Amino acid sequence: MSAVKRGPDTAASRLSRLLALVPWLSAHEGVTIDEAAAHFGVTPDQLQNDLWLLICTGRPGHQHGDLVDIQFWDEDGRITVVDAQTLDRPLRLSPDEAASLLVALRVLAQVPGPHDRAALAGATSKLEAAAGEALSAADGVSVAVSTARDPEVSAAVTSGLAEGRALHLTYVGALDERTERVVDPMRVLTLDGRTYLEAWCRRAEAVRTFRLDRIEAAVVLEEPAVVPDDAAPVDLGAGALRPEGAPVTLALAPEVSWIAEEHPVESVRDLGDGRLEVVMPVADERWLVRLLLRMGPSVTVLDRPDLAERVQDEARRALAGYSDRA
Amino acid sequence: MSQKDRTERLLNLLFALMASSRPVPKHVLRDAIEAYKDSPSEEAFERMFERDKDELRSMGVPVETVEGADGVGGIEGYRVAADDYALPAVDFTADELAVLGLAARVWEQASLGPAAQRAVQKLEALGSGAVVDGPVGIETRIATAEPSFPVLLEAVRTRRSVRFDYRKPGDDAPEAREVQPWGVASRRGHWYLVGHDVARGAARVFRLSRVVGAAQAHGEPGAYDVPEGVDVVGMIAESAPRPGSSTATIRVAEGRANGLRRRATSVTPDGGSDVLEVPFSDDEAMAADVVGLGAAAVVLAPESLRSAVVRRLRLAAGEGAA
Repeated sequence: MSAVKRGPDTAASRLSRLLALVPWLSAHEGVTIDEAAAHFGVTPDQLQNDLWLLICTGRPGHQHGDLVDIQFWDEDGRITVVDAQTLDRPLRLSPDEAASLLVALRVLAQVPGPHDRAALAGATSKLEAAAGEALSAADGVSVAVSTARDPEVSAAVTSGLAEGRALHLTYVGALDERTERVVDPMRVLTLDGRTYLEAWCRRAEAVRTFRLDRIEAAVVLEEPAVVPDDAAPVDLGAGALRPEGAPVTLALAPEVSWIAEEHPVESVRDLGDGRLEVVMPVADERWLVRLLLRMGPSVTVLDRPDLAERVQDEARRALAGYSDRA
Repeated sequence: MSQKDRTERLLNLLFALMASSRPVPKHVLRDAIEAYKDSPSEEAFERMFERDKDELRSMGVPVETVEGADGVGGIEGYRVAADDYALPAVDFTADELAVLGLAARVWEQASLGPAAQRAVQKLEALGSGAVVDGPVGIETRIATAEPSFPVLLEAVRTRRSVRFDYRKPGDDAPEAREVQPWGVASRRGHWYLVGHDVARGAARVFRLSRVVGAAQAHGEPGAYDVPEGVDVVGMIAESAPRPGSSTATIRVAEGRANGLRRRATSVTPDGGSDVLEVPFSDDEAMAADVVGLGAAAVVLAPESLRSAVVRRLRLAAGEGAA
């Protein structure tokens, strides 16, 4: 599991590793120090230190036969557990540990994708049984993510990915425009509670993410999906799916301060009069014009007088629709 | 005290607690473990021992406190039963291990990430195989940026009250709350706490991003019961504004106003545009949605909604309040 980022090596995290190390070594007779270090995501030196620490511990008295006995000094670097004392089995899962995997499995069950449903159900029920009392921690945490509205869209996305075929999408983006496009599916992504299809868009000739709840229709095409070699998947580490665009500075009245919670913002500052000043990246200014119209005087643009004019123009055009009875 | 020394001390304590099926008295532990023997005073030893015991418990080690038979509430000693200690044997298939690999990545960079990593180490130590990086073509991430998250998770599990300062949008200052947590839940990417608000004597939903600072556990564990069959996610959904009993008739441009179209109960084409029937509850909230669409949407009825929209548009057009 080298993909998982590791925290600092505290006494608790090191002890946790030691308690897993002994049964793991017992189950992998003759494994080398390098292999064991790679498995636990530590350096070979750290692993040797762990082994030295282990063989100095054991039942009180520390007489011959009381201590953990692991041999690891042969030239071939192989490790043999001679006496694991009472550490021959891994420690049961703590509440947090049980919750982390079970809640994650339950989220995976909500999203469409090429993952094996039978394996998901199997892993979940086995883990629930093994968790024992720690299961209650998992039941205290619920995660509901939004996904496709239409089960046919879910099914099409799943088979497009599983069978490697292109999809024809009818999509309504953030700008309220309905578009038709052919895409080559790459991944299903769930981020910030929403589920997206990441795909190579043949129309934009770029990688795009499509919110599943905004895909109105998806049809699996006969032709195979062909993702260009240089198509770069979304980097999930770096503030994924943040809009790219010039930042705009807004003042938010207290009743609309939730805007700073709902949208990615670069900074938030208290203006002292109850209002918040937020700096927000805006990918498409038409989106911001719509937001400003919606929110009326509760939101003020501080640094872009031209945007305020566009809002006025759009409001005048909209008023014309009411001139018959106004 | 170095990390190595503390790790060694905890490990020796664990061995001592598992060495016998009889509870081990505290003074025996002090004599048996070098670091305890060397502690300068009885008080220093007590502090060290309490901290170590808590640390083992937080890792999931079932340290049992056995009360004395003398009936005066004294503690005879402590023990860890081997059967309670060990993770039950589970045999995962290769496909299940792959799904677990996928699950372990879900909390990457979130507060439960290290816990997921430890869980995987334990499962792999059972010997049924390695948790591999899961299937490609799907990635799921759950973020937990809120500092209260670990405190609340623990409080829900141990049935312990929490106190925090809570600031609702539009409030000038945060307000102190005391809540008996029933559950923590995420909906549409936002974390919530659902529980019994002690001062208000009723169930409430709190958004974690509105908690000022971090929540603090308060009082004894096991202080309350969670009502039978409580649906935490359902309560959060219900606390959000819902479509109401009024119906708006709105003319929208072709292919536009797709958000309204999804909410509409009927769509009738009418000479190049469409007329929608959309349920709503609040004139002002609905007017805001319509005004956001600019010239692409015109309210035909009811009159109250129509005038709310016109008033907002005049304001936005710089014509002053109507």
